[in-house]
Amino acid sequence: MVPEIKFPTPTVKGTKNDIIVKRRGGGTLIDSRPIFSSDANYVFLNCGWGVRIFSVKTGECVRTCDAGTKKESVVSIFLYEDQPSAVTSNGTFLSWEIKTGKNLRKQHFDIGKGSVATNAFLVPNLLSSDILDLCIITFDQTESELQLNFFDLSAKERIQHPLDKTVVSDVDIKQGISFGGPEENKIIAAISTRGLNIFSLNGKSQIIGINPGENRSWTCVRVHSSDYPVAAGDTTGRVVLFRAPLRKGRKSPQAVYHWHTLPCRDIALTPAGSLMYTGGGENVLVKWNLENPQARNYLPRLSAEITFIEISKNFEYVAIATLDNSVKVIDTQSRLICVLQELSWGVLSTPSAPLFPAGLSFDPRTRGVVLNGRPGHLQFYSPSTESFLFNLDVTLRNYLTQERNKVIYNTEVTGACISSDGAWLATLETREDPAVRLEQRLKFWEYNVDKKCFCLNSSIEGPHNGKAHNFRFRPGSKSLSMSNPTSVNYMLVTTGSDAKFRIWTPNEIDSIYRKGVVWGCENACFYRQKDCGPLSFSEDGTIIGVGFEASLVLWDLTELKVTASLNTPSRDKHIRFVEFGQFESFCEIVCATEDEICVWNLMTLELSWKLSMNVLLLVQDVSSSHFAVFTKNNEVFIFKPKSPEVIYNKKRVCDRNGLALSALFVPRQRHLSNVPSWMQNSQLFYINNNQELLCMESETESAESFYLMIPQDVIDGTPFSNLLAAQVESEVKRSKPLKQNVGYGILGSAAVSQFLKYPAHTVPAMSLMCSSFLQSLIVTNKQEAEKMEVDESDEGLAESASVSSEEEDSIQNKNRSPKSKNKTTPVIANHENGLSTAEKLSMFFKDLEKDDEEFLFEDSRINAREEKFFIDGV
Amino acid sequence: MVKISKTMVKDFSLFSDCGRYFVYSSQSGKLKIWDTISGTLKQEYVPNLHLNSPCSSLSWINLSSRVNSPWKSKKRKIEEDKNLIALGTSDGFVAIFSLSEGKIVTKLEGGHSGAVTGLGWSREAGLFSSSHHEVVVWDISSKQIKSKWKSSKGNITCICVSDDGEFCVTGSHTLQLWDVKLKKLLKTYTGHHSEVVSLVFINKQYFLSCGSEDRHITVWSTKDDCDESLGRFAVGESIKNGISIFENESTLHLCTSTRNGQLIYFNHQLNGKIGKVIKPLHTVEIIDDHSSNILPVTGVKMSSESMVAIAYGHSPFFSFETLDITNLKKNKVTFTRKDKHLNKVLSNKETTKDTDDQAQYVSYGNRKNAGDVAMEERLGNLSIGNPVISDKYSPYNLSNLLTQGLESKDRSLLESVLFRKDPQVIAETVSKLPVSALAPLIGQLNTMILGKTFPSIVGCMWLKGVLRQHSSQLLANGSTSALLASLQALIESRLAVLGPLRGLSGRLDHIISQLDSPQDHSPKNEDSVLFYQEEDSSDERESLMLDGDGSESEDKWEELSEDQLDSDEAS
Repeated sequence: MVPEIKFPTPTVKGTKNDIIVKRRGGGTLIDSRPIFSSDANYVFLNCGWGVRIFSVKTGECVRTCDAGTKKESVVSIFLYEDQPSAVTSNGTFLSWEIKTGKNLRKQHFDIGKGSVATNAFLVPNLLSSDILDLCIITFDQTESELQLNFFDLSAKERIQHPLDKTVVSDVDIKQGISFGGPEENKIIAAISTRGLNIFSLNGKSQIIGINPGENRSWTCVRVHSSDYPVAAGDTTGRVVLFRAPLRKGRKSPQAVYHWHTLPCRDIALTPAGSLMYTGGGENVLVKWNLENPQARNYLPRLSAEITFIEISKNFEYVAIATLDNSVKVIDTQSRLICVLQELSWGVLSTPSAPLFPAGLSFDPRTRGVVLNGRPGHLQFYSPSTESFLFNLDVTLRNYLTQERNKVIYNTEVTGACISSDGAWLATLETREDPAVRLEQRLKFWEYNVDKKCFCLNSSIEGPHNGKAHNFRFRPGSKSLSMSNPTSVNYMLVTTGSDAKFRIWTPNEIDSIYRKGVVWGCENACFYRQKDCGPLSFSEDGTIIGVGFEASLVLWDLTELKVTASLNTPSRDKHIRFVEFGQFESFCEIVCATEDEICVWNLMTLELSWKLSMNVLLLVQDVSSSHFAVFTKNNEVFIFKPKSPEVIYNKKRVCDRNGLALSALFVPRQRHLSNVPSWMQNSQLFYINNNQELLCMESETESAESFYLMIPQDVIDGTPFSNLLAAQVESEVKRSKPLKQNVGYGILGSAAVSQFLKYPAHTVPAMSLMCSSFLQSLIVTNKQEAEKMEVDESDEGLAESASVSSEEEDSIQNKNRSPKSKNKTTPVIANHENGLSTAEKLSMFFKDLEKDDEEFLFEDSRINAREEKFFIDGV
Repeated sequence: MVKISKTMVKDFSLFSDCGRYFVYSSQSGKLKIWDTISGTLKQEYVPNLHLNSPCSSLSWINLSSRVNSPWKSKKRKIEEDKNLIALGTSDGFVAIFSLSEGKIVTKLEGGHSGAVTGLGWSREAGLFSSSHHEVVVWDISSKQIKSKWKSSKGNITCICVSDDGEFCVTGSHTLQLWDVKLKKLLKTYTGHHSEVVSLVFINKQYFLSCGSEDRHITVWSTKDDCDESLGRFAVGESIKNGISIFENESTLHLCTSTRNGQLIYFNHQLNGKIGKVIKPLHTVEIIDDHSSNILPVTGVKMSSESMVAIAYGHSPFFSFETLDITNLKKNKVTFTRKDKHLNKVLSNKETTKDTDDQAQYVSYGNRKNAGDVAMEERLGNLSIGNPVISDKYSPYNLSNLLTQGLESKDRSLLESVLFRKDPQVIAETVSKLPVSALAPLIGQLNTMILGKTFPSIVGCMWLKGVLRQHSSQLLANGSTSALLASLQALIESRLAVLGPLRGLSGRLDHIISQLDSPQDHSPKNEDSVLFYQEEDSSDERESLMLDGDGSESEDKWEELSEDQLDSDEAS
């Protein structure tokens, strides 16, 4: 589904005339998880060949950082020193400056042969947590092994690490590996076919193979960025949260959150750790309150399946990447902030459906290309500005998501056609559920100049008895209509599998409900009970040519009479494309069967020429007499019907086993004279099955590019900003800022609950409670605490044992870390001599605490505090 | 401060070079940007207080130049910030606003002491700005002044740069042509009575100018030695918001909007001196459909040789449209449009609009719509109050009524006749019908048959009657086939579902009969849960046998039961 590698210009050198193929849309934005800048003003998206920076405020691409690679694609993006950074599939690390898009550093790491990098993240060095190392996850296709590799960013080489070259998994899912955990004990979680594996970064403990249960397998995993919880989703849509994932022995405590019915695709935990976002195939983002799983918030009806969820560092925004290649940014109240979208990818509403069944058509008004967008919609895309214009809801139906054991069929737009003056749009929608009768609707949309959009005029249920194949408007005036269409000169012809073609015309109606026109069937014609398929109008709209199996029948539309019937030389091949010639070749008609092209002269009704060719697509230029043929061998030929001479041909028009699905000539706004004749008035666009919109361009026009560096002003609006120097250097040692403002739960909740938990007569005197209560309300800086009491640090374990006894108990109250409880035990021992009732109680609570040990941190913290408190009381 | 108020704090509006965006700077200092394709207000930018010096000039910075420069790089195309707006302020600095970031990204300061009166952009030479006596060329990337020169004559009100950045024209009451590299005054042109407000270069060989009170656009040449105007385009009214040109193969397409709200279009082959004044080829006016007031055209942009993007409406409510100007039939065209500020304003993020409120749904099944029922009821109500039709009909009356109805197309009259089902009435009415009424009748019946159940059934009966009576007439008439063509399609498609429908109804009948049958038999099959046998049931049997006449037996039943009870109690 998701194409692997995208490049900005998949240039294929032409055989002559230096014509290149250029991509005009469809590059991926959702290859890896989107990330926010540290101030959450920008979103960085992986576009395959680099990183694109979007402004959250406006939703527009601000800057593009090119990775400058030829074949390798960017596999992972992250922030390094607050700048966007990326790792490519061959293990190159890149970092750019956010303001200018300048490449700051680029270095290659040897990740070993035969494996490709699939993910990467920055991990703190084991010796000093200030230095960051790069961990690249590589995947070996042959052995199917996902392996960790650790590199030193400054020394540019592999470093000694206990987890280096550890095989963590056997499957390569982007959401299947995650890094996080508290600062003192970072963990890596990965899912494999055998279960969930959790590794401690220092290599000291690891848990392998937590099974989701019978008939289930894990689909995604996420570790909290600064704490222990590990959340993993499975194929039945459950999300299991492990509060203490590294606990060995007894079964680790877990909480199950189950709302999804389809597999859960991605999980995100908020920095404070109280909320969780999950998403999957239901197109619903679920916001969980971890304390209360019943209190859920939903963001339903997203455009497609959710693939990635990311939360900004301070939980201002949430980015949701969906499968239709768009990223939505919402705020904490689930209000939509912006949608980052370019060419919307086709989302298969039902498996095995063809991509872009409606093909490409040109809207003269917006100068946009019309093609399938999200299910049941048509998208208008402007290839010149490479921007998505708008969606038109054609089916006017809710999208039904798949169910676990059932295929749900959605109505899909299978055809679209715009009249030459842009006044009418005809759409055909189909729902092909094998269990029920075929549902098809032909809809006519008129352009409303006041509303500036297409409005539904008529909807015709089942235009044909059976499937409708093709339809086209009769060519009319080429100038844009500038008032609401009221004239009845329009005509549409549809062909269907009931072996008839029908003529539809607008009829004037004048009722009390509405005035205007309504489309209806005027006539139906058939030819020898043969199945009909392609159709074409002559340039002036008086003759229609319809392909009935192997014969081409021409009808005079003014009298509705058959004027001629022509048979292809090979009588068994059905005609697939019919096109009347235009301009100087007005008396030619071009037909294409599967393996040949025939051209007849309409004056003499003789076969002018034929050519055998594996025809995939045949398209005509609207503003000249040129034709383009796409063959199954991935080639394109340009010719004129006058002669079988090929004007231009190009091989390998689609990269990577691509195949053109639909093609279109888009008229140019300006006549170009320095390009080959067939490109002067229009440009050839085509879409391939990698969902890329490509166009053919001469090298001279594509060379036009201009780079303007714009310096960014830091505008500080207040007079106080003048007091601040642009650069502040200070020798004063700064304490490290707290990683987050609030820990779990509510500030001081433990102390308050202490008041309330026990009967009044057991609570000691207020004077004793005061200090601990107030202290619990202070957010202690851990670094400071470390300086004052050394027993906190991880490194100096030996020291801590000696020092801790000397420490005053009151200071220990500052410890908010759950770890501190282990170290309080010797303190208790010191005081055990002076036995009192309070002491006994403290022993009692200690026992209690042991029982509760495998509980949530919060509880253990409360316990730790309680016991300290009683020591105070002694 | 007096100086600032003098330097025109006014509205500016401008299309971007791609024609997609429209920027409007209001007197309040707000910058509004519309997306013209969707017609939505895309951004609104209120500058910070210290930036809030009134905007005195506006220009888009266009990065994709049409001129094929020798400056070719085979570098991969980098999608840079394409939408930048340069704002000149009355405080003398130039701010650059980025559309994609939604903020002012950079400020160019130190160039001018007075208000910035004009801005010009050339991809090759950079950004030009002018104050009353100075012209400054900026290097944006380093925020430095590239060059600066003074002009001695007059207050500069306007500036324009040729595409390649070689020439620059400043306008005051006179026009001055400068060589940018040498900072040298090349030529001075005179001829305007008022200060020049609009300047446009055409291929660096010509340029256009227009003064604030002028009623024409003047063409000048940079090449020749003559410093007189080449010709004039008659506008008829002073222009409002600049000139937009499109030049292709030496044909000049020129569009502008005038102060009275018209769009004026010229088409001219520029070649040397023009003898007479050129008259506009087309004049377009847009009128509000309610009040028939003019909706003034405020912005024009020629996007190709025939397409003009326009913005119209009163200041905060703009509407956008693309006109196909070359294919207008008449010299003066008027379009009627809705005034947008009467409509509800669409919110910024809303992308969906109601597209189906005025739709006709045609289906071959008999699906009932709530609206249609209401229609039938409504028409029924109408016919009740209609005294013309009495219960005693005469075929003459009816056929007269029908012809009247067909002529006047009065729905109630027609339906009062056509909703009769009696075949005899139908036959008589049809036979009395004049031949001329046949075609409209068939047309009417067509629409009835296309409709819902009841009209469709009745319509069929009437059509049958018509065909039976007048088949010879119809066969002779050539237009009949066209009349009946759509009916044929309809009948075919309805017949196509007849088979499956029959099957379905058969199955349903079968199911219903199966559903019915067990209900009848259920009392028989059920075994009684408790079987209680009367000790002496002979009495009852007798009573049952006696049961012959209704009233008597009932009485006896009661008696018997009482007796029974007594006997039970006794036992």
